[in-house]
Amino acid sequence: MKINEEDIRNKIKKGERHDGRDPLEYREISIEADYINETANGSAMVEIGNTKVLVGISIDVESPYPDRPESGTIVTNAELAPMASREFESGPPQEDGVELARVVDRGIREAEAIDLNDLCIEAGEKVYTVFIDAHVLNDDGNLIDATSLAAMTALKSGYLPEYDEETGTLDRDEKWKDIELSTEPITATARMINGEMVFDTTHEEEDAQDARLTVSIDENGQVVAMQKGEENPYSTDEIAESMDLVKEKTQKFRNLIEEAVE
Amino acid sequence: MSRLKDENEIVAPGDLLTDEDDVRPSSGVYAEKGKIYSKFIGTVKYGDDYVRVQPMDGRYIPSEGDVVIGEVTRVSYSRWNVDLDSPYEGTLNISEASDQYVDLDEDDLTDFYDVGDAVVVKVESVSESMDVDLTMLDDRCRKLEEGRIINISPHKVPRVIGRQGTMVQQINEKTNCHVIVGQNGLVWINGENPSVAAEAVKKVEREAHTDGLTDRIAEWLDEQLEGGDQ
Amino acid sequence: MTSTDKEVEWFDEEGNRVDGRKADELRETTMEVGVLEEADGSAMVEIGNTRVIASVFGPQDLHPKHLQESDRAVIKMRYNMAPFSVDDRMSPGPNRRAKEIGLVARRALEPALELEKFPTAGIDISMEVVESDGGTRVTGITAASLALADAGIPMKGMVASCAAGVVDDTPVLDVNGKEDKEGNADIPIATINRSDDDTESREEDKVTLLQMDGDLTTDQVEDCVQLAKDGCRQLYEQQKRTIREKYNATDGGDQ
Repeated sequence: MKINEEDIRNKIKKGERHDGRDPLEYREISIEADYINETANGSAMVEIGNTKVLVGISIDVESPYPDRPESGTIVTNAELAPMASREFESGPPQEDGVELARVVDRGIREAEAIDLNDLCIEAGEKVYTVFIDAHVLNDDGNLIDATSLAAMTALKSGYLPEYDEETGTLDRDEKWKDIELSTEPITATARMINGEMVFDTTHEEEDAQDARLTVSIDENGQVVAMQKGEENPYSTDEIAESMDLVKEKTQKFRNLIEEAVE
Repeated sequence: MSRLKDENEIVAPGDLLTDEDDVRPSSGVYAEKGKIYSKFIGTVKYGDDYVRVQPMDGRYIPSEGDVVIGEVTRVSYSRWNVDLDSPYEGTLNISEASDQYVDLDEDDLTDFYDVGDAVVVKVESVSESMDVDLTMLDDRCRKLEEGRIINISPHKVPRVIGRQGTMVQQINEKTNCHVIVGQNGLVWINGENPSVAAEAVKKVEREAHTDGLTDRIAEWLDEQLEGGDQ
Repeated sequence: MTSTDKEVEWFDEEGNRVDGRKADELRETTMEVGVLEEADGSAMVEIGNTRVIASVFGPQDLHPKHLQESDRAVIKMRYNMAPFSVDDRMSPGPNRRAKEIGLVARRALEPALELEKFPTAGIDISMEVVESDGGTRVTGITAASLALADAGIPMKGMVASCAAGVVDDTPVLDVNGKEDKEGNADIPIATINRSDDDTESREEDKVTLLQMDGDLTTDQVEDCVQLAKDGCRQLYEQQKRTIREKYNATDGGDQ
């Protein structure tokens, strides 16, 4: 509602948010790895406040692209289930689902989290395809961070099934090896509301936002991916500030993922 | 009357409440072959000669006389459409918006209310085909300029208001806020500690079906506001 | 999926099935109501490894207008399987089978709902299969019924649903994925349940879904239908427990 958007924009200038949090504070985060028992090759359910996202990893075997005979593929997909929000309901092409998938995908791909050559079974013949499918079940804002967390947890606890050369198919019950990650990029998004920097926005707060910057940091504190969204610009100072804050936030996430995967 | 459930017990749709056939089915229940069953998840209440179920939740259906909070969605030549968070939208005609004479060709209706404005309005009438006519001509009605609006279940509104307004009054006093509870479950809050007031309203909503709520809310409010913080 | 096992022992000497159950036993079932905050009503039901989340929005404004009915609410049903819900990944989005299941599910639930109370409105029901191991449509219906009650839609009773099948010539209750693939029939049933049904005769008009796929004798069909009806009754009891637990948990205290 417009009255709420205005109130959010006014209050943030005083450092106040509707749920009483600090502008940089995250809601309670819970991560459950291996949420899917049998069918997925890796999975995670992440809740940030009321936002709930489920990510499942599916593995398939395909022929490689002719120009990259030793590279496997990663495909990231995000579905905004109609149940997640009154707005998603009225169905047409999930523009935001495509955007969400792209943002999450970039955080993994640009960072080269998975070495695509690692997915090669037989050069020029067979390679693994890793499908990362995100299913948003309840949208109360900050889908990017929740989905990225779930994707990284699912990959960390995921495995590649064994490829049976005779039959040319995957033996889904036999694990060949864990999915190896060359780096572990963790993602967090900084947003601007009325000139103030805010983390972990609720759905309502996102209606009032002006800009967002998503940053991915690897385990060495290096920035490995960054992307900006929404119309308004970011100043260089704001970008620098965002990166520092994201480093701090993602360290906490890293610990949470470790705990979940144990 | 044979009471097959305890007073205020939580019941589910299809639960048999009484099997005596001279009992009158009131709201939230239905009768079949001399038996009365619940239609909702809710609390059962037995009267002298009737039984009813107070639902836990459900969307708002406009009813005459209700004072509600809504958002203007459209402005046309002589009226406004107002979203009441209901399957049925409300219409506010210019004749119900102002006592003053308004020249429709000269004056712009958006001077009064524009798209996106939050308003407190009264439901004047509801037709059989669910046309909802609203009015601003009541002391309680007004445009809401600042503050925030939260949502609760319309069925919990009486509890949040409290007997003779005691619950909402308590929240107002302790948080130094002004809280207006619309019958449609939209609640407007403005003042010194709006986050605490909002939390208190949500807490009443969650625990509406329990005992000793007024005291518990008073205690909780005191705890929250102790540090003088938000 | 690997090639079919030729010599699967569907029942061992003690009459236990591949997962240790007896012929008339349901898999382990968990239910939770009110799992999603944005939706007006929601529920999750897990039967064995089959897990379905259901949501309800409504009654609400229905668009486009030509779909409105002047004297009742219109139900829109969606059934969808998440890509990772099956061993061989499915493309996202409902396919034709999903649309058919949606139609069947809607017919299973509609008779229990008091739709005339909401003229011109719409009620949107959604079922997302998060993991599939046989019985996804019936699990979805059981979850949808809980979600409808959670949303405060007036209902005559609770709809519960489960399926029976025939494995190795024996009627069994609640076929799992393996049994479904190799078994000889699939008979999903849904019933509207009320608390006093044990004391009155179970009339056929309480059955809102009855399908049969397969090649059976009439005796086998009768046995299956009876098994499934009993299964529905058990699920109904669990639905009620789930509802009670949710509200009794907030009695007199705070979370």
